[in-house]
Amino acid sequence: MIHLKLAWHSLNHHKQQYGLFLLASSLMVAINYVFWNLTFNHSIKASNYGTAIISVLGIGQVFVLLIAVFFMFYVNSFLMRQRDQELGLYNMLGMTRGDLRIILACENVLLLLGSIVIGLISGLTFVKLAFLFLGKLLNSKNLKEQFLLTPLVSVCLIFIAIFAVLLIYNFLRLRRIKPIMLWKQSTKAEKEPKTRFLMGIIGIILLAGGYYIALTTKANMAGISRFMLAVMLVVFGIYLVFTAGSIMLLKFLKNRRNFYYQPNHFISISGMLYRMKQNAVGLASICLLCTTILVTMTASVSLVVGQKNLIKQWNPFDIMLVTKKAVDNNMVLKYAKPNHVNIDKSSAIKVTSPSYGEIQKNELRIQSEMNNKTSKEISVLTVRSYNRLTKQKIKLKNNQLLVYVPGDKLTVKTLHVNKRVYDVKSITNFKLGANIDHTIFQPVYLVAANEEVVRNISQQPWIYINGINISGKTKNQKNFATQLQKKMKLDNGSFSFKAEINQLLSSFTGSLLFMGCLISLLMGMTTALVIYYKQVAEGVADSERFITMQEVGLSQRETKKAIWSQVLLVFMLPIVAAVINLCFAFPAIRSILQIFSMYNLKVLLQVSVLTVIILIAFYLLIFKLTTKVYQKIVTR
Amino acid sequence: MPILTLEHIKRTFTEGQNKVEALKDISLKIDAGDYVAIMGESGAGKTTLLNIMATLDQPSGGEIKLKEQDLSKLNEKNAAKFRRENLGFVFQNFNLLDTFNNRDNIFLPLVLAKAKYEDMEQRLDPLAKQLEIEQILDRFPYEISGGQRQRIAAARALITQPELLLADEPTGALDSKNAAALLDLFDQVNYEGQTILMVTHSAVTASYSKRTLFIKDGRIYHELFRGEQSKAAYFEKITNSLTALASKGAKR
Ligand SMILES: Nc1ncnc2c1ncn2[C@@H]1O[C@H](COP(=O)(O)OP(=O)(O)OP(=O)(O)O)[C@@H](O)[C@H]1O
Ligand SMILES: [Mg+2]
Repeated sequence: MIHLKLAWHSLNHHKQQYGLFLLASSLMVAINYVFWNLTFNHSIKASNYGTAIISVLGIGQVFVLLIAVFFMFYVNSFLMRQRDQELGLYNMLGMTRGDLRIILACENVLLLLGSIVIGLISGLTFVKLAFLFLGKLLNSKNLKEQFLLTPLVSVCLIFIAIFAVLLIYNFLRLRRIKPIMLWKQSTKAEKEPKTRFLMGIIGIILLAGGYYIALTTKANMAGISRFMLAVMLVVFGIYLVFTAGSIMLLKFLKNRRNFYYQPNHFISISGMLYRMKQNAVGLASICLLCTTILVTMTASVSLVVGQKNLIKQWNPFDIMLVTKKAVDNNMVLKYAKPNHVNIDKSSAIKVTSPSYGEIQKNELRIQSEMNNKTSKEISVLTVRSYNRLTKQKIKLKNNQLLVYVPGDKLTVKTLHVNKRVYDVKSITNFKLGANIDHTIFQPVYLVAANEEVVRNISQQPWIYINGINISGKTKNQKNFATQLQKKMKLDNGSFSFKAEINQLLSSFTGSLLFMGCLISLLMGMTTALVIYYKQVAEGVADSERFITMQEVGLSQRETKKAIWSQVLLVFMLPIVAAVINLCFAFPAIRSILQIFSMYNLKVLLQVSVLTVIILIAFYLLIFKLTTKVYQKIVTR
Repeated sequence: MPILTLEHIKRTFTEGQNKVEALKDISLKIDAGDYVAIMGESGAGKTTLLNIMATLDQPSGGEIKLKEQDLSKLNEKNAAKFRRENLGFVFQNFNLLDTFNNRDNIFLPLVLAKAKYEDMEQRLDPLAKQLEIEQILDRFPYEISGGQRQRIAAARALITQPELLLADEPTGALDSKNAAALLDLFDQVNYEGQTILMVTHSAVTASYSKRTLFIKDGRIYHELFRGEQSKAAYFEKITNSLTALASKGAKR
C-alpha cells in the first residue's frame, strides 16, 4: 500500500514530466489504434483494390508500432533520470531494492492505465471525427467508420507488452546502479557519448539494404511484402545512423576549433552532444514520421491527379466492348436512334486475348497463368489489322515487331520472345490499345507481321476490341449504354462506359485520398508532438545551463540566437533525411502506384516536389512555435 | 577613486505573506585595486549583496554604481554585456556546466566575448599552471572533486581579467594547501591591480585581504583594515571580531 502511495506521490509531484509522458504514450496508443482500426475496417476492404489498400495500411501499422517502441524508450529515458533521484532517496531511507521495484511497477501500471484510457478515447474520437470531416470534405460516402473489438484488444495487449519491456529495462537499470550512485544520477550528467563506428556501420548496412530492396521492388503483389521488409530495415537503419552519425558529426564539428569556439556553435554543439543519444532518437522519429507523410501524400495525391490518365487507359473511347465476334454496327445504330444518341466514331480491332507475362531487360516471358512475377498483359495483333485501323501501309518482316504500351514507352531495341529475337519499334498511335481488363498489370500490344508470328507469341483466342464514341444528353447516353450492354449480354469486365468508370474512379481515388490525408494528419500530429516533447523535455533540462550562462554574461538575445543556431544545425537533419528517404522510396511508390494503373512519372515528380515544399513549411511552422516554448522555459 | 559605490542598499524578499529583509541598509565604497573580504553568519545576506553587485539581482532600494555606471539602471541586455566585460565570479556552488569539459567551462566567458582560440589558450596556460588544474582540463566537471571544481570556477573568473572579481566562498571546498594556492593567486592579481571582493567564513582566508567587512542582519556592523600589520596580527583581529560578533548575537 505504501508503495502505491509513494508511486502516486511521485506522479503527483512531477506533474510536468509525467504529464508529458502520458501525452506522448497516449498519442502512441491512439495512432496505433487508428491503424489497427483501419486495417480491420470492412468498408475499406470492400472498396476497389481493398486488399491492396489494406496491405499498404499493414505497412503503416508495422511502421507505427516500431515508432511507438522507440519513442516510448526515448520518453522513458527522460523520466528515469529524475526518478532515480527519488528512488535513491527512498533507498537511503531504508527501502530495499525489492521495495523500489514494487514502486516502479506501481508507477508503470498507473501510467499504462492512464495511457490506454486516454489513448483509446482519443483514438476512437479521432477515427470518428476524421471519417466525418474528411468524408464530407472529399465527398466520399463509401467509407464508413466502424467500431471493432479486435483492434482495441490488440492495441491494449501491444502496449501492455511495451510497458512490460520498459519495466524490465528499468529494473535492470536499477540493478546496474549502486545505491549511492542512484541518488547522484540525476545531478551526475550523462557522459559524453563515445563515437560508435560499429553501430554506425550496422545502421548504414541496414539502411542500404532497405534502400536496395525498395529500389528493386517490382510492381506486383509480392512487392508489397518486400516493401514492408524495406520499411523495417530503413526504420532500424535510420535510428542507428542518426544515433551514431549525429555523434560523429558533432564531434567532428567540435574538433574544428575555429568553428566550435564561436558563441552560438559553442553552446549548441556542446549542448547537443551532451545528450545526443536521446536526441538522436527524437530526431530519427521525426525523420521517419516526415518520411511517411511525404510518401503517403505523394502517392495518394498522384493517384488523384493521375486519375484522368487512368481513364484514358481504361476507356480511350466512350464505350469499350470486348467481344468474341465483331460487333454489328447496324445493331448499335438501332439502339442509338431511339435514345437520341449520335454515334460519332466506331472502330474495332482483332487481337489475341491478353496473356500474363513479364519483361526482363530484353526478354518477354509469356506465362501460362498469373504468378507473383507477373507485371504485364500481352496481346498480339497482325500488321494487316493495324494498317486497316490506322489507314497506314506498314510492312513488317517476320523478325520485326511494333510495340505499344499505353501511357508509356518501351526503350529496348530487340526483344526475345519464345526463343526468337525480334527487332522492335515503339508506336504511339494505337488508340484502341486499352487496358481492357482494368487489371493492375500494364498492357502491352505487339504488332506482328502475320498470323504465324502472332501464334508463335501467343496461343490465346482472338477477341475484338471495339471502341465507340457517342454524343447526346448524359441521361440518354446512359440509357443507351445500359440497353446495349443488356442486349449484347456483356458483363462489366467486357463492357465499360466512360461516365460510369469516371464516377467509380472518383469515389475510389477519393477514398484513397481520404486514407492518405488521414494517415498524414495522424503522422503530422505525432511529428508535432515529438517536436514539442523534445523541446519541452530538453528545455527543462537545459534551463539551468542557460541560467549559468546568463550569469557569465550571455544576454537573452544571445540566448535566443544560440537556440536558433541549434535549430538550424540539427533540426534540418530529419527533414533532409526524410527527403532522401523519399527519393529511395520513389521507385517503390511508382511500383505500387502501377498496381493502381498509374504509370505517369511526371505527375508523380511534380506532386512529390510540391509535397516536400508543403511539408517543410509545416515543419518550420511547428518548429517556430515550439522553439518559443523552449525559449520560455529556458529564459524564465 | 572608488570603483564601486553602494548607498543605502536594501533588498527585501517577499514570499507570500512572509517578508525577509536580507539587506537593510548597506553603504560602502570600494577603491580600484582594493581587496575586500566580507564576513558574517550564515543567512546574514552576503550572497544577496554579492548578487546585487554582480547585476544578477536588483536592489529594492538605494543606489549602486560601478565606475559611474548606475547598475540598477542597466537593462537586461546591457547588464549581460556589462557582466561579461567587467565582472568575474566564483560562485558559492561553482555553477560549472556539465555540458562542457573543464577547459571549455573556463573559456566560456571568452567565447561569449568572441575571443580568438589562440588568445584563449595563451591566457589559460599560466592560470592553469598556478591553479594546478592542467591535468584535469580535458575532464568534465562531474568527474572532478569539489576542490578542483572550485579552482576551475576561479580560473573561469580570472581568465577575462575583469575589472572586479567577485568570489563567494572561494576557499570553501579547498584544503589548506589548495586554499593557499588560490589565495596566493588572488594576492598576485590584486598586486597587479585587480580589484577583489570575496565572501568568506574563514578568518584565514579573510586575513589575505586588505580590508574586512562584517555583516549582521543586513547591515555592515564592523570594519577592519589590514594596513601595515602582519598577516598574523590581522588574522588575530579578525578572529576577535568574529568572537565578539557571535557573543553579541547570542546575548541578544
Ligand atoms: N530568493 C530568495 N527568496 C527569499 N529569501 C531569500 C532568497 N535568497 C536569500 N533569501 C534570504 O535572505 C537571507 C540572506 O541570504 P543570503 O543567501 O544572502 O545569506 P548568506 O549570507 O549568503 O548565507 P551563507 O553564508 O549561508 O551563504 C536569508 O535569510 C535567506 O533565507
Ligand atoms: Mg551565501
